[in-house]
Amino acid sequence: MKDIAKLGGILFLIAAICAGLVGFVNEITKEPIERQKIEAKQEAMINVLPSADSFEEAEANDEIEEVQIGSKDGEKVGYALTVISKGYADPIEIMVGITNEGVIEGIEILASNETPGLGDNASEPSFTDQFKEKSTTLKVSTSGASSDDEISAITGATVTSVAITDGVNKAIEYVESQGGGAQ
Amino acid sequence: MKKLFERLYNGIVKENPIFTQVIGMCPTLAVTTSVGNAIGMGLATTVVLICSNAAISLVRKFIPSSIRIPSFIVIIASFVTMIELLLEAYIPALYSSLGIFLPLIVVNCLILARAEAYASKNNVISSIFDGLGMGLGFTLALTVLGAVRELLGTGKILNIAIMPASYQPAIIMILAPGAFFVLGILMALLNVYRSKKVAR
Repeated sequence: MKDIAKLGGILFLIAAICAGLVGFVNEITKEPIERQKIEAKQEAMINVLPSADSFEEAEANDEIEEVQIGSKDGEKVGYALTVISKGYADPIEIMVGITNEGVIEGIEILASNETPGLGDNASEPSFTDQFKEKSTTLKVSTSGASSDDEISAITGATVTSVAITDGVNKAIEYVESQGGGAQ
Repeated sequence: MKKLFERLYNGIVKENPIFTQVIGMCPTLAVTTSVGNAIGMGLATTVVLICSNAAISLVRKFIPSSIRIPSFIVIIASFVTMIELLLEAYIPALYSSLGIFLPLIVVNCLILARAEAYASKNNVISSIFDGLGMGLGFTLALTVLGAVRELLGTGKILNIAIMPASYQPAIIMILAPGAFFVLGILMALLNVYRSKKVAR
Protein backbone atom coordinates (compact mmCIF):
# COMPACT_ATOMS: atom_id res chain seq x y z
CA MET A 1 0.00 0.00 0.00
CA LYS A 2 2.76 2.37 0.96
CA ASP A 3 4.58 1.39 -2.20
CA ILE A 4 1.64 2.26 -4.41
CA ALA A 5 1.36 5.70 -2.84
CA LYS A 6 5.07 6.33 -3.33
CA LEU A 7 5.12 5.19 -6.96
CA GLY A 8 1.93 7.11 -7.66
CA GLY A 9 3.50 10.18 -6.11
CA ILE A 10 6.61 9.94 -8.29
CA LEU A 11 4.58 9.39 -11.43
CA PHE A 12 2.39 12.34 -10.47
CA LEU A 13 5.48 14.49 -10.01
CA ILE A 14 6.91 13.54 -13.42
CA ALA A 15 3.58 14.14 -15.14
CA ALA A 16 3.13 17.45 -13.33
CA ILE A 17 6.59 18.71 -14.34
CA CYS A 18 6.06 17.66 -17.97
CA ALA A 19 2.58 19.19 -18.06
CA GLY A 20 3.98 22.38 -16.56
CA LEU A 21 6.69 22.59 -19.22
CA VAL A 22 4.25 21.93 -22.05
CA GLY A 23 1.87 24.52 -20.59
CA PHE A 24 4.69 27.06 -20.40
CA VAL A 25 5.76 26.47 -24.02
CA ASN A 26 2.12 26.62 -25.10
CA GLU A 27 1.74 29.97 -23.33
CA ILE A 28 4.79 31.57 -24.97
CA THR A 29 4.01 30.21 -28.44
CA LYS A 30 0.29 31.02 -28.43
CA GLU A 31 0.70 34.56 -29.72
CA PRO A 32 3.26 33.85 -32.48
CA ILE A 33 1.15 30.90 -33.71
CA GLU A 34 -1.97 33.07 -33.82
CA ARG A 35 -0.05 35.73 -35.74
CA GLN A 36 1.34 33.13 -38.18
CA LYS A 37 -2.16 31.88 -38.89
CA ILE A 38 -3.49 35.36 -39.65
CA GLU A 39 -0.50 36.12 -41.88
CA ALA A 40 -0.86 32.81 -43.69
CA LYS A 41 -4.54 33.56 -44.34
CA GLN A 42 -3.80 37.04 -45.64
CA GLU A 43 -1.16 35.59 -47.92
CA ALA A 44 -3.53 32.89 -49.17
CA MET A 45 -6.24 35.46 -49.98
CA ILE A 46 -3.79 37.58 -51.98
CA ASN A 47 -2.54 34.44 -53.76
CA VAL A 48 -5.95 33.25 -54.88
CA LEU A 49 -7.28 36.68 -55.82
CA PRO A 50 -4.27 38.75 -56.92
CA SER A 51 -6.43 41.47 -58.45
CA ALA A 52 -7.66 42.56 -55.01
CA ASP A 53 -5.62 44.27 -52.34
CA SER A 54 -7.98 44.41 -49.38
CA PHE A 55 -10.51 41.96 -48.02
CA GLU A 56 -13.62 42.22 -45.93
CA GLU A 57 -15.53 39.36 -44.39
CA ALA A 58 -19.11 38.89 -45.52
CA GLU A 59 -21.92 36.60 -44.45
CA ALA A 60 -21.49 32.98 -45.50
CA ASN A 61 -24.14 30.36 -46.23
CA ASP A 62 -24.42 26.62 -45.51
CA GLU A 63 -22.25 25.57 -48.42
CA ILE A 64 -19.43 28.05 -47.89
CA GLU A 65 -17.28 28.19 -44.77
CA GLU A 66 -16.14 31.77 -45.09
CA VAL A 67 -16.71 34.57 -47.56
CA GLN A 68 -14.20 37.37 -47.99
CA ILE A 69 -15.01 40.12 -50.47
CA GLY A 70 -11.90 41.40 -52.19
CA SER A 71 -11.67 44.91 -53.46
CA LYS A 72 -9.16 47.19 -55.11
CA ASP A 73 -9.26 50.98 -54.67
CA GLY A 74 -12.56 50.62 -52.83
CA GLU A 75 -14.23 48.75 -55.65
CA LYS A 76 -15.33 45.13 -55.33
CA VAL A 77 -13.41 42.86 -57.70
CA GLY A 78 -14.24 39.37 -56.47
CA TYR A 79 -14.44 36.81 -53.70
CA ALA A 80 -12.01 34.68 -51.73
CA LEU A 81 -14.16 31.77 -50.61
CA THR A 82 -13.19 29.08 -48.14
CA VAL A 83 -14.95 25.78 -48.76
CA ILE A 84 -14.69 22.43 -47.02
CA SER A 85 -14.87 19.20 -48.96
CA LYS A 86 -14.67 15.60 -47.78
CA GLY A 87 -11.25 14.26 -48.75
CA TYR A 88 -9.76 10.78 -48.66
CA ALA A 89 -8.64 11.15 -45.05
CA ASP A 90 -10.01 14.28 -43.37
CA PRO A 91 -12.00 17.23 -44.68
CA ILE A 92 -9.98 19.40 -47.05
CA GLU A 93 -10.09 23.16 -46.64
CA ILE A 94 -9.80 25.00 -49.93
CA MET A 95 -9.68 28.71 -50.69
CA VAL A 96 -10.96 29.75 -54.09
CA GLY A 97 -10.52 33.19 -55.61
CA ILE A 98 -13.27 34.14 -58.09
CA THR A 99 -13.77 37.47 -59.80
CA ASN A 100 -17.12 39.28 -60.11
CA GLU A 101 -17.40 37.78 -63.58
CA GLY A 102 -17.18 34.28 -62.14
CA VAL A 103 -13.68 33.46 -63.38
CA ILE A 104 -11.32 31.58 -61.02
CA GLU A 105 -8.07 33.44 -60.38
CA GLY A 106 -6.50 30.76 -58.25
CA ILE A 107 -7.09 28.11 -55.60
CA GLU A 108 -5.08 27.10 -52.59
CA ILE A 109 -5.31 24.11 -50.24
CA LEU A 110 -5.36 25.56 -46.72
CA ALA A 111 -5.51 22.36 -44.72
CA SER A 112 -5.57 18.71 -45.68
CA ASN A 113 -4.45 15.38 -44.32
CA GLU A 114 -4.14 13.45 -47.56
CA THR A 115 -1.70 10.61 -48.17
CA PRO A 116 1.85 11.96 -48.48
CA GLY A 117 3.17 11.41 -51.98
CA LEU A 118 -0.30 10.89 -53.46
CA GLY A 119 -3.28 13.02 -52.45
CA ASP A 120 -0.88 15.38 -50.76
CA ASN A 121 0.38 16.42 -54.21
CA ALA A 122 -2.92 18.28 -54.65
CA SER A 123 -1.33 21.39 -53.20
CA GLU A 124 1.30 21.41 -55.97
CA PRO A 125 0.85 24.11 -58.63
CA SER A 126 0.74 21.43 -61.34
CA PHE A 127 -2.69 20.48 -59.99
CA THR A 128 -4.05 23.75 -58.60
CA ASP A 129 -3.06 25.83 -61.64
CA GLN A 130 -5.50 23.80 -63.74
CA PHE A 131 -8.37 25.66 -62.07
CA LYS A 132 -7.17 29.09 -63.18
CA GLU A 133 -9.35 30.86 -65.77
CA LYS A 134 -12.16 28.30 -65.38
CA SER A 135 -15.66 29.63 -64.94
CA THR A 136 -18.05 26.69 -65.36
CA THR A 137 -18.96 23.69 -63.22
CA LEU A 138 -16.02 21.32 -63.45
CA LYS A 139 -15.59 17.57 -63.85
CA VAL A 140 -12.63 15.34 -63.05
CA SER A 141 -11.09 13.23 -65.78
CA THR A 142 -8.75 10.36 -64.98
CA SER A 143 -7.42 10.10 -68.51
CA GLY A 144 -6.23 13.67 -68.89
CA ALA A 145 -8.32 16.81 -69.36
CA SER A 146 -9.61 17.06 -72.91
CA SER A 147 -12.21 19.81 -72.73
CA ASP A 148 -12.50 23.19 -71.02
CA ASP A 149 -14.61 21.97 -68.11
CA GLU A 150 -12.32 19.08 -67.18
CA ILE A 151 -9.61 18.83 -64.56
CA SER A 152 -7.12 16.00 -64.92
CA ALA A 153 -6.93 13.93 -61.74
CA ILE A 154 -3.76 13.37 -59.75
CA THR A 155 -2.45 9.88 -60.50
CA GLY A 156 -3.38 7.55 -57.65
CA ALA A 157 -5.49 10.16 -55.90
CA THR A 158 -8.80 10.38 -57.73
CA VAL A 159 -10.79 10.77 -54.51
CA THR A 160 -8.74 13.82 -53.50
CA SER A 161 -9.03 15.32 -56.99
CA VAL A 162 -12.81 14.88 -57.00
CA ALA A 163 -13.10 16.32 -53.48
CA ILE A 164 -11.21 19.47 -54.42
CA THR A 165 -13.14 19.90 -57.66
CA ASP A 166 -16.44 19.51 -55.75
CA GLY A 167 -15.29 22.21 -53.35
CA VAL A 168 -14.39 24.54 -56.19
CA ASN A 169 -17.78 23.88 -57.83
CA LYS A 170 -19.51 24.95 -54.60
CA ALA A 171 -17.59 28.21 -54.74
CA ILE A 172 -18.55 28.75 -58.40
CA GLU A 173 -22.21 28.11 -57.58
CA TYR A 174 -22.04 30.63 -54.76
CA VAL A 175 -20.74 33.38 -57.01
CA GLU A 176 -23.43 32.55 -59.57
CA SER A 177 -26.10 32.79 -56.85
CA GLN A 178 -24.72 36.21 -55.98
CA GLY A 179 -25.48 37.40 -59.50
CA GLY A 180 -21.98 36.94 -60.90
CA GLY A 181 -20.86 34.17 -63.18
CA ALA A 182 -21.12 33.29 -66.81
CA GLN A 183 -24.79 32.40 -67.30
CA MET B 1 35.80 8.92 -27.41
CA LYS B 2 36.04 5.47 -28.90
CA LYS B 3 32.86 4.47 -27.15
CA LEU B 4 30.98 7.37 -28.72
CA PHE B 5 32.03 6.35 -32.24
CA GLU B 6 31.06 2.80 -31.42
CA ARG B 7 27.56 4.13 -30.52
CA LEU B 8 27.27 5.88 -33.89
CA TYR B 9 28.47 2.80 -35.81
CA ASN B 10 26.13 0.63 -33.76
CA GLY B 11 23.10 2.77 -34.57
CA ILE B 12 23.81 3.31 -38.25
CA VAL B 13 25.15 -0.11 -39.27
CA LYS B 14 25.33 -2.87 -36.71
CA GLU B 15 21.95 -2.46 -35.05
CA ASN B 16 20.23 -0.37 -37.69
CA PRO B 17 16.72 0.24 -36.29
CA ILE B 18 14.96 -0.74 -39.50
CA PHE B 19 17.11 -3.35 -41.22
CA THR B 20 18.36 -5.18 -38.12
CA GLN B 21 16.02 -4.45 -35.22
CA VAL B 22 12.92 -4.02 -37.41
CA ILE B 23 11.25 -1.50 -35.11
CA GLY B 24 9.32 1.67 -35.91
CA MET B 25 7.75 0.00 -38.94
CA CYS B 26 4.55 2.07 -38.97
CA PRO B 27 6.14 5.44 -39.88
CA THR B 28 8.70 3.63 -42.02
CA LEU B 29 6.11 2.11 -44.30
CA ALA B 30 3.84 5.14 -44.28
CA VAL B 31 6.15 8.07 -45.02
CA THR B 32 8.72 6.64 -47.42
CA THR B 33 6.72 7.66 -50.49
CA SER B 34 9.43 10.16 -51.42
CA VAL B 35 13.00 11.02 -50.48
CA GLY B 36 11.96 14.44 -49.18
CA ASN B 37 9.40 12.97 -46.78
CA ALA B 38 11.86 10.29 -45.65
CA ILE B 39 14.60 12.79 -44.79
CA GLY B 40 12.13 15.10 -43.01
CA MET B 41 10.73 12.29 -40.89
CA GLY B 42 14.19 10.85 -40.20
CA LEU B 43 15.70 14.12 -39.01
CA ALA B 44 12.67 15.06 -36.89
CA THR B 45 12.88 11.63 -35.23
CA THR B 46 16.63 12.09 -34.67
CA VAL B 47 16.08 15.38 -32.83
CA VAL B 48 13.41 13.87 -30.58
CA LEU B 49 15.54 10.77 -30.00
CA ILE B 50 18.55 12.82 -28.87
CA CYS B 51 16.42 15.01 -26.56
CA SER B 52 14.47 12.13 -25.04
CA ASN B 53 17.58 9.98 -24.56
CA ALA B 54 19.35 12.87 -22.81
CA ALA B 55 16.37 13.66 -20.57
CA ILE B 56 15.72 10.04 -19.64
CA SER B 57 19.38 9.41 -18.92
CA LEU B 58 19.40 12.47 -16.62
CA VAL B 59 16.45 11.28 -14.53
CA ARG B 60 17.15 7.53 -14.75
CA LYS B 61 18.17 7.28 -11.08
CA PHE B 62 14.97 8.93 -9.82
CA ILE B 63 12.55 6.73 -11.71
CA PRO B 64 11.69 3.41 -10.01
CA SER B 65 11.80 0.56 -12.51
CA SER B 66 8.16 -0.43 -11.99
CA ILE B 67 6.85 2.87 -13.37
CA ARG B 68 9.55 3.55 -15.94
CA ILE B 69 7.44 2.90 -19.06
CA PRO B 70 4.66 5.43 -18.25
CA SER B 71 7.32 7.93 -17.17
CA PHE B 72 9.24 7.54 -20.45
CA ILE B 73 6.08 7.94 -22.51
CA VAL B 74 5.11 11.11 -20.65
CA ILE B 75 8.60 12.56 -21.17
CA ILE B 76 8.71 11.65 -24.89
CA ALA B 77 5.19 12.95 -25.57
CA SER B 78 6.00 16.22 -23.80
CA PHE B 79 9.14 16.69 -25.91
CA VAL B 80 7.31 16.10 -29.14
CA THR B 81 4.51 18.48 -28.17
CA MET B 82 6.97 21.21 -27.21
CA ILE B 83 8.97 20.79 -30.44
CA GLU B 84 5.72 20.88 -32.42
CA LEU B 85 4.57 24.11 -30.75
CA LEU B 86 7.97 25.80 -31.14
CA LEU B 87 8.19 24.84 -34.82
CA GLU B 88 4.66 26.08 -35.50
CA ALA B 89 5.44 29.40 -33.84
CA TYR B 90 8.91 30.13 -35.19
CA ILE B 91 9.58 27.95 -38.28
CA PRO B 92 6.09 27.57 -39.83
CA ALA B 93 7.46 26.47 -43.22
CA LEU B 94 9.17 23.43 -41.69
CA TYR B 95 6.13 22.77 -39.49
CA SER B 96 3.76 22.60 -42.45
CA SER B 97 6.09 20.43 -44.51
CA LEU B 98 6.48 17.92 -41.66
CA GLY B 99 2.72 17.95 -41.15
CA ILE B 100 1.45 14.70 -39.71
CA PHE B 101 4.93 13.23 -39.08
CA LEU B 102 5.48 15.19 -35.89
CA PRO B 103 2.62 13.70 -33.84
CA LEU B 104 3.50 10.31 -35.36
CA ILE B 105 6.90 10.42 -33.65
CA VAL B 106 5.24 9.95 -30.24
CA VAL B 107 4.10 6.49 -31.23
CA ASN B 108 7.38 5.52 -32.88
CA CYS B 109 8.49 2.61 -30.73
CA LEU B 110 12.13 3.21 -31.71
CA ILE B 111 12.21 6.13 -29.27
CA LEU B 112 10.71 4.15 -26.40
CA ALA B 113 12.98 1.21 -27.25
CA ARG B 114 16.15 3.32 -26.99
CA ALA B 115 14.92 4.89 -23.74
CA GLU B 116 14.33 1.45 -22.29
CA ALA B 117 17.33 -0.39 -23.74
CA TYR B 118 20.00 2.26 -23.52
CA ALA B 119 19.28 5.68 -21.99
CA SER B 120 17.84 4.27 -18.78
CA LYS B 121 21.11 2.41 -18.08
CA ASN B 122 23.85 4.72 -19.38
CA ASN B 123 25.23 8.21 -18.81
CA VAL B 124 24.02 11.33 -20.60
CA ILE B 125 26.83 11.73 -23.16
CA SER B 126 26.71 8.14 -24.42
CA SER B 127 22.92 8.30 -24.48
CA ILE B 128 23.02 11.42 -26.67
CA PHE B 129 25.37 9.65 -29.09
CA ASP B 130 23.22 6.55 -29.00
CA GLY B 131 20.23 8.73 -29.97
CA LEU B 132 22.24 10.39 -32.73
CA GLY B 133 23.47 7.05 -34.12
CA MET B 134 20.05 5.42 -34.03
CA GLY B 135 18.44 8.53 -35.51
CA LEU B 136 20.91 8.67 -38.38
CA GLY B 137 20.54 4.93 -38.98
CA PHE B 138 16.76 5.41 -39.11
CA THR B 139 17.12 8.40 -41.48
CA LEU B 140 19.50 6.48 -43.75
CA ALA B 141 17.20 3.48 -43.99
CA LEU B 142 14.14 5.68 -44.65
CA THR B 143 16.02 7.60 -47.34
CA VAL B 144 17.08 4.41 -49.15
CA LEU B 145 13.49 3.11 -49.03
CA GLY B 146 12.12 6.48 -50.12
CA ALA B 147 14.63 6.73 -52.99
CA VAL B 148 13.77 3.29 -54.41
CA ARG B 149 10.03 3.88 -54.10
CA GLU B 150 10.09 7.39 -55.54
CA LEU B 151 12.33 6.32 -58.43
CA LEU B 152 10.20 3.32 -59.41
CA GLY B 153 6.87 4.95 -58.56
CA THR B 154 7.32 8.34 -60.22
CA GLY B 155 10.57 8.12 -62.19
CA LYS B 156 11.91 11.10 -60.24
CA ILE B 157 14.03 11.74 -57.18
CA LEU B 158 13.45 14.99 -55.27
CA ASN B 159 11.36 16.09 -58.25
CA ILE B 160 14.28 15.71 -60.67
CA ALA B 161 13.56 13.29 -63.49
CA ILE B 162 16.02 10.37 -63.37
CA MET B 163 14.35 7.76 -65.53
CA PRO B 164 14.08 8.33 -69.31
CA ALA B 165 10.78 9.81 -70.45
CA SER B 166 9.72 6.46 -71.90
CA TYR B 167 9.68 4.94 -68.39
CA GLN B 168 6.15 4.13 -67.28
CA PRO B 169 5.98 4.87 -63.50
CA ALA B 170 4.78 1.94 -61.39
CA ILE B 171 2.27 3.73 -59.16
CA ILE B 172 2.02 0.70 -56.88
CA MET B 173 5.51 1.45 -55.57
CA ILE B 174 4.35 4.65 -53.88
CA LEU B 175 1.15 3.02 -52.62
CA ALA B 176 1.17 0.95 -49.43
CA PRO B 177 2.03 -2.42 -51.04
CA GLY B 178 5.16 -0.90 -52.59
CA ALA B 179 6.48 -0.17 -49.11
CA PHE B 180 6.27 -3.84 -48.19
CA PHE B 181 7.84 -4.98 -51.48
CA VAL B 182 10.82 -2.66 -51.21
CA LEU B 183 11.41 -3.24 -47.50
CA GLY B 184 11.18 -7.02 -47.94
CA ILE B 185 13.55 -7.12 -50.90
CA LEU B 186 16.09 -4.79 -49.28
CA MET B 187 16.07 -6.86 -46.08
CA ALA B 188 16.47 -10.07 -48.06
CA LEU B 189 19.45 -8.65 -49.96
CA LEU B 190 21.05 -7.48 -46.71
CA ASN B 191 20.55 -10.92 -45.18
CA VAL B 192 22.19 -12.60 -48.17
CA TYR B 193 25.14 -10.24 -47.82
CA ARG B 194 25.40 -10.85 -44.08
CA SER B 195 25.19 -14.63 -44.30
CA LYS B 196 27.93 -14.67 -46.96
CA LYS B 197 30.09 -12.51 -44.73
CA VAL B 198 29.62 -14.91 -41.81
CA ALA B 199 30.35 -17.93 -44.01
CA ARG B 200 33.65 -16.44 -45.05
